[in-house]
Amino acid sequence: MLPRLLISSPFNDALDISLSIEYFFNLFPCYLFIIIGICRYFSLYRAQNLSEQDNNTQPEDDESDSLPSTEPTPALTIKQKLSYFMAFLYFLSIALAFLLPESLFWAAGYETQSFWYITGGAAWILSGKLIELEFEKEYSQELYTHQLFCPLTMVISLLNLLLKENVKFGFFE
Amino acid sequence: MHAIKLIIAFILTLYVYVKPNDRLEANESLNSAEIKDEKSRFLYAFLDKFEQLQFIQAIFRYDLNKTPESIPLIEFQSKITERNNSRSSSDRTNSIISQPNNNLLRKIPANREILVKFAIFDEETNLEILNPMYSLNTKLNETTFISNRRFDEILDFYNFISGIYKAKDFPDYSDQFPDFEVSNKPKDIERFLNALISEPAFIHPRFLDFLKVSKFIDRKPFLEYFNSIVPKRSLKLNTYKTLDSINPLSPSLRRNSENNADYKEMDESILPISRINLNSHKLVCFEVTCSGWEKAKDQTHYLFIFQLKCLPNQANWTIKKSCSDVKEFDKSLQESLKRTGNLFNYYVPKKTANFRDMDNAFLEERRKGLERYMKEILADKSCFDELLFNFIDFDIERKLPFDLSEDEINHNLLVESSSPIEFHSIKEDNLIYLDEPPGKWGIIKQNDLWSPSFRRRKVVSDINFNNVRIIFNGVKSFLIQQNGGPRNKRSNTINGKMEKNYFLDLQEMEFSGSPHFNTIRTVIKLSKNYKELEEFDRIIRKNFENDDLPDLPDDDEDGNETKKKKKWEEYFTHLIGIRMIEENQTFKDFFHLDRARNRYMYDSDKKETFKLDLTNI
Repeated sequence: MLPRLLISSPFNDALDISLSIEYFFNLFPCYLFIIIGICRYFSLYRAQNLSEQDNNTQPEDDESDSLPSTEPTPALTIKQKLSYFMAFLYFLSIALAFLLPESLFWAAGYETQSFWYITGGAAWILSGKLIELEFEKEYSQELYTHQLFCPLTMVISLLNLLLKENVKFGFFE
Repeated sequence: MHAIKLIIAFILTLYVYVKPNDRLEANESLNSAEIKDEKSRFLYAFLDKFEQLQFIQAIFRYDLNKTPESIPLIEFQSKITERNNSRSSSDRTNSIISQPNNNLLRKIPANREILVKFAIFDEETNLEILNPMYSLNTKLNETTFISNRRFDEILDFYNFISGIYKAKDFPDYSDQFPDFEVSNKPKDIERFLNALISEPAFIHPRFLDFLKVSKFIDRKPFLEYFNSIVPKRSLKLNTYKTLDSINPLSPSLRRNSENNADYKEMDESILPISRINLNSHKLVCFEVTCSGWEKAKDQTHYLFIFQLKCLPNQANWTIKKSCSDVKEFDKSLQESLKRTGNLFNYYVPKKTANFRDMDNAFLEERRKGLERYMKEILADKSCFDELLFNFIDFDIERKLPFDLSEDEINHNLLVESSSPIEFHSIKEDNLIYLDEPPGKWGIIKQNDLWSPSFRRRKVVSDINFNNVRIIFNGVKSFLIQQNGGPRNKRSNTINGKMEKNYFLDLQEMEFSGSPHFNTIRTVIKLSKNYKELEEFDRIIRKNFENDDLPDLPDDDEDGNETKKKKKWEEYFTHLIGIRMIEENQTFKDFFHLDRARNRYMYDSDKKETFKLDLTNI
């Protein structure tokens, strides 16, 4: 009964749309990245190091010109820590949905739905892990993984910032 | 919340696009600099600046300005620290080329020492080393690495390393280098190596290999010098082109990369000689001549007389075979070996129409053909089969012909004194030459003659003198017959002369992990007169005046056998301990090393690598 009522009323139509925006549209890059990232992670996990692959073809290379440094670079540290921080933000959202009043935090009105944020957190943890693995295996970030995921997240955050106020004032109506 | 996400996502996007490969960054390879176009160069510089901000470093907890560990102050170090302080993308490309990476300096352990001693035992194999070796004990922090090197190896390494670093503008240690031509004392070497290891720029992979450091650790204590100069991937593609395009005004760079290429080549050529597949019957080789022909008893056909000689023990014997015998044998041999080539038809002319009136010219032609055929077959080890040995009446177990009396055996073994008893190959060339154009006797394809096993063989040079020992087997007197062989022993005893012969074995050992010598790889058996030994000793003494040679043991008639043996073995052990002895021509001649050289065979299936001596091929 309750869902039907929610859907039928004009107020709830707008709510439904905002819910779907928050949990489907906003989290869309995360869903996408979870699928692609897992594929990438396991394909890399099995793969040999790039330098080892080179050595297989040219064994003398190893003797002459490689001592790859395994110390993490500042870039790697920043990328990884920012990824984990993003994951932390998603988990924080869940916590806030339970703790804060609705007037302060939008998702607080829908506590159970806020668990969708777990996917976002997972995607960003995966991103951090993938960056680490790519460093280990001497691969670079790919167009279909991070180079897609990060800008997409950026664009969606930007849209949200621009459109959030309009939603409140019945932009979609 | 969205604002924070936006900022983070923006930074991440920048990083993911501008610095996608962290490992390249870590190695400061030229490739990353190479990829950058002008726009990304600006972004790269921006991110560099961003990384250098103090509060960013504090937030993300990394330290760009780590102070290196204490190392000797040298001129170029200041340059490098300067460079790292003014880290920016614009001068990075240029500075990397001419200067080593700062990380490299910092990672050399502060506690390091190299001790050089004379080694008596090989640590890896627990074997006594017969040559004087220098044991290089490298202490890095608390781990010790031991490598045993012969003086030649140290010299080689010295030449290599001095050749590389002279080309660059690095401090010259020539004052401290020991004069290798005169002295070969461990202390000098120790001083030289310690000077080398204290200088980060000299930490070349070859040096690490020389000290056997790189084999045991993950190479972390040292960052490679060459890595910053010639990055791996650009080396793989087109090193010189890319390097020149980056900085055409760096002749030193080009020189370095060339040196690096030289190093590779050298490295390939000094790979250790390892096992040889020893099949006893493959060590046998034959010489064959067809001396003539005679009519068979039933007067229907001719028998050709083949004189065979087995090279390991110089056994002689003859066999008589008709042409059709040989033809049948060839057929069955080809069948057993599953070959298609018809060697017999190629070499041996066919019967003419008037068979009954075979003239001498035709028989002579046939004789030549049969001789060449037999030579070809007996030279090809892939043909070594029971069928062949039965055909030529040869007992492969004893390495002697079947019907040979004991007298003859003794004769065969002893009459050829002072010659190596075992040869190691038959053919000097791997190719089968077709002297005459095929056509007259049928067409033969060269591929048919090439068995795959035949093609796989390669030539290996050098006896590894670290594993050689010379064993004195004893003295024996025996009769030298002046006329005739032992067959006429009774009649010629009075004319015979007794002569004392010294029996020696030069054995090269091969071991496979166990602490004792496992197998003998090379044996050269000799019997020598005392005169020959004296002459040899005289020449060796002349050549190696600096070394304290033991006296040549006396030619005692009656002495304690074991004492005598010990004396001789001591003498020879000392002898092969002399540096460069194996390159002395007298020594080579005395032990017939030249004759054995370049004739070892091995199967490339074993995937072993060998040192190829191409000079004699």
